Amino acid sequence: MEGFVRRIRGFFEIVRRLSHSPLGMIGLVIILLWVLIAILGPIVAPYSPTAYHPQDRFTGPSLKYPFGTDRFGRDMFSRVLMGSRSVLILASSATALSLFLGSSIGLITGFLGGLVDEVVMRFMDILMSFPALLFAMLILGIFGPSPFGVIVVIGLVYAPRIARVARSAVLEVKQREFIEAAKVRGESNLYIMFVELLPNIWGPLGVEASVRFGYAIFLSASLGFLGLGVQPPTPDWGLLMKEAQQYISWAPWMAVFPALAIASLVVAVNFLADAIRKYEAGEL
Amino acid sequence: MNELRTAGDAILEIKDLVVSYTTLSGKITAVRGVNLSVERGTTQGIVGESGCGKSTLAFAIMGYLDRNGQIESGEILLDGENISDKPRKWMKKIWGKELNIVYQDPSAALNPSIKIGRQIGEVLETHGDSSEKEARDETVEMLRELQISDPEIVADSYPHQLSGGMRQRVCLAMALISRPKLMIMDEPTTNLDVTVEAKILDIIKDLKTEFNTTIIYITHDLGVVYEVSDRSGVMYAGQFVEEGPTEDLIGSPIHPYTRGLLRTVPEVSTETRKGKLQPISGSVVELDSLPQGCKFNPRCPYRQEGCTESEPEFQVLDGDRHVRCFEAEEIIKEDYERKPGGGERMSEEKGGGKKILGAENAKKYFGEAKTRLLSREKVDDRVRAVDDVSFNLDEGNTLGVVGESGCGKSTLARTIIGLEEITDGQITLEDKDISVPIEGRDQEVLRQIRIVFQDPRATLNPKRTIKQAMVRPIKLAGASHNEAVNKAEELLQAVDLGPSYLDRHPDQLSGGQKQRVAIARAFASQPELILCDEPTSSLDVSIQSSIINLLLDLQDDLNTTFMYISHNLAVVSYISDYMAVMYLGRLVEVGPTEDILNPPYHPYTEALLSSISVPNPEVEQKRIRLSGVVPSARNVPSGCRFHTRCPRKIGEICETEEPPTRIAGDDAKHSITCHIPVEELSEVEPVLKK
Repeated sequence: MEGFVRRIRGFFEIVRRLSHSPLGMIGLVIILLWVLIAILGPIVAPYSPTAYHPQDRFTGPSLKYPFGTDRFGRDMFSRVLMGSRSVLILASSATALSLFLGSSIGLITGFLGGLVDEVVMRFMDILMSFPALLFAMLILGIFGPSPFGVIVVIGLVYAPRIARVARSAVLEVKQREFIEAAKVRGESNLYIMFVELLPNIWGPLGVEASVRFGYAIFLSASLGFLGLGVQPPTPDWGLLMKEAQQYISWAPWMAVFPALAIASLVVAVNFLADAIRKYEAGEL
Repeated sequence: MNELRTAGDAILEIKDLVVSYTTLSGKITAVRGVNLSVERGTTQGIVGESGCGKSTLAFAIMGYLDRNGQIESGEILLDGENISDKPRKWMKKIWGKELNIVYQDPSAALNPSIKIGRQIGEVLETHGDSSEKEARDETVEMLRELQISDPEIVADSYPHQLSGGMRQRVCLAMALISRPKLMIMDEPTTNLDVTVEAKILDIIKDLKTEFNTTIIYITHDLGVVYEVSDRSGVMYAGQFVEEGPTEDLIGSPIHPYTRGLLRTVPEVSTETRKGKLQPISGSVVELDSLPQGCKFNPRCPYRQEGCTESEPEFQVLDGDRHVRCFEAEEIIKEDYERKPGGGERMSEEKGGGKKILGAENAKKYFGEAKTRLLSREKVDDRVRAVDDVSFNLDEGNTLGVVGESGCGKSTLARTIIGLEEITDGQITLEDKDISVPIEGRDQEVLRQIRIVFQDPRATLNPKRTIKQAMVRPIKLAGASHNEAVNKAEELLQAVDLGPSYLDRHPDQLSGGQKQRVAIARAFASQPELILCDEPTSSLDVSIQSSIINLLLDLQDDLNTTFMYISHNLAVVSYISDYMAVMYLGRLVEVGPTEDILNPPYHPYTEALLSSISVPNPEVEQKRIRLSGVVPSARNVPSGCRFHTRCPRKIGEICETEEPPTRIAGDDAKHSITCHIPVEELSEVEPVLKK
């Protein structure tokens, strides 16, 4: 019981300390707003994102269509709002995947050290030396575009970076005496890694994951723009940009609003990530 | 308030100084009304446990408080001028020239990328009008004054090329070179080995006569204060509780806290079987929750009703002494008993003589011998951390291992428990060969040996509750969950922690409490052998004594065998039945504690004993100082490893031949490894005499 109370109190303490960073709070509010929109979706969107309004093609922003319409007369406002779904799902699943892969790899290599560490980390270096977008295009080009593919690819692309952070955190923690005390009483390596070590590296992992989340949003939008992710007619911010491309000179609103949406989310995530980093460093 | 000693020539006068810090949880007053007067050319000692405000006082004098610290009221008069309200810009001008400070950590105080000579010279160039050439000459001269044998070479070195003791001398040189009026030393020898500390203390004592420097010396170590200072003050909860000539303060303390402190530290004594240590009850008060009335009253054995109501004044006694205690008049009438016998510590004869731990020619080398590619020359520069160590340890006994840092004590313990793989030789536990690392040992062997580490902050997993930490090892030994929880409660009870601690996290415990949990955890598997690697060295003295008492009580009850490693000879000699003196990977002297502390001595043991500071005016101590530092274990000296520093070297034989190990005296258990015959070693005067 006391443990539960402590956990709740710990959570409020984190929120209280994060609130010392105004930018972090702004970021958090924007993110929560987008998450809310994604969940409520059809309730907040005035039209169906795929409904055609043939009489209203390429109209600029107006009261009827706040963000204008596209070449089929679809409401851009509804499409941008609904587009938040795919980007949030893709980016968060991908970040979760890379967090899982990266922290497992980092834990194992950091803890075991030696040859395993050398070989695996050099392989990670090779993976990291590919430009992220190029690597993603290559894989999706081979296996064909799909939202699931985007998640896997982004997860793979960012896993090495998280692995590096996890590994260096493990190297620091594993020298501490409670790890040696665990060895001395005959604990297995798995127990030491996941019960003794892992809880002590959540801090740096959380910071890295929040930064990666920002990148993942960007990368998933980029892949959408290249047509390698979500397929039409589903609205996706990257895809909306792609559709806007050829009409940019006379219907700029088609590009501007999805771009603003991407920017707002990425900037908000970075604000929050920065606040989390400061919290971890004890600056808040 | 009472008029303080109005010295004829006070260089520093502090009047009613109050210093506070603003923190997130409110304002904390760290120094609460301090009065002090320091005479020119004297050394003023300030003693206290952590958190008593001694460092805050030092920073307040320097005008170098943290940004959230401020002087609330009071005056600091340096040579008659009030410097307590001067802006930092003004203070900067007198730093170095009139006021200077030497810190605990010399490596943090020196710039790693500038040569020593430049760093010291710069002080002169910024303050005076010395040219670079003059500054250099003066620097070399100052280094020579501080007994550095090759001042030119040191001046041309970078800090990392010097040993810790040498770096601290450089810091002293840097602080002294501008001839400051007042020098503050904040625990300058705390991180150093006793042999090095002794030499630095000698130098500090000489400074007084040579430069007529005034020094404020801050430390937690009563022995050190007794060694260097003319007058001393004891601080508690941001105030002085007692102040007076050091001789009187240490010889016949009045304030209950001073008495408690002096009684609580173990003292090296050639008499055997001392009573229990007397810890001061309770723990140091938190500055944000001070008790009503006298701040020491919750821990005071002399407490009266009035003590909890109002705070005592700092009153003058005996002409020259100041005490903050209502009962002082009464206490002073009592005869002060230095070490009252607090019940017999343990039974006279111990153990059934069953051998628990044995080491036979145990070796632990780090690195690998290489063969040079071109010349095919064999290079063996392995680090010989433990080199050919043999000893036996019987059930229920304690073997204390002492030696300077880098002599291989910790590696020996880590090799025994299997955290390091043994290079050669054998280690046995109850006559079973256990010369394999942890991975190769079976559960039963793992259960039998436990270790208690030095750093209480690192010894418990910060993310796991005390319950989780305690229950796990008990369950590993085969208990069910409920049994384990009950056992954990029992164990915590045994280390004086209630069951309410079970659900806490380590960050909610003090250092001493964490170390208690670590000890309880070590006992959880009912081990036969516990290795203690400096378990009390990062704790305050009053907590140290309660931990030592706890270990001894548990040993009495459970007949557990201990190997106790520490650089603190007093603690080791107090707790151990047998002692081993280690130097550069070898045991140079092994024997019953009593025999180690009396002649015949190994020359190294003799030097160690002579280096410690004993806060007891009744004890006379012989003065032997070792030159240089422990050589590198990568390249050990030929013959006797100690010959490079040995004050009793007899000739070439020491450099060429390995010394023999001889039985010393009538006791076959006492052996000394030295070329000098035992008879000759027996002829020396004892180092410590009453």
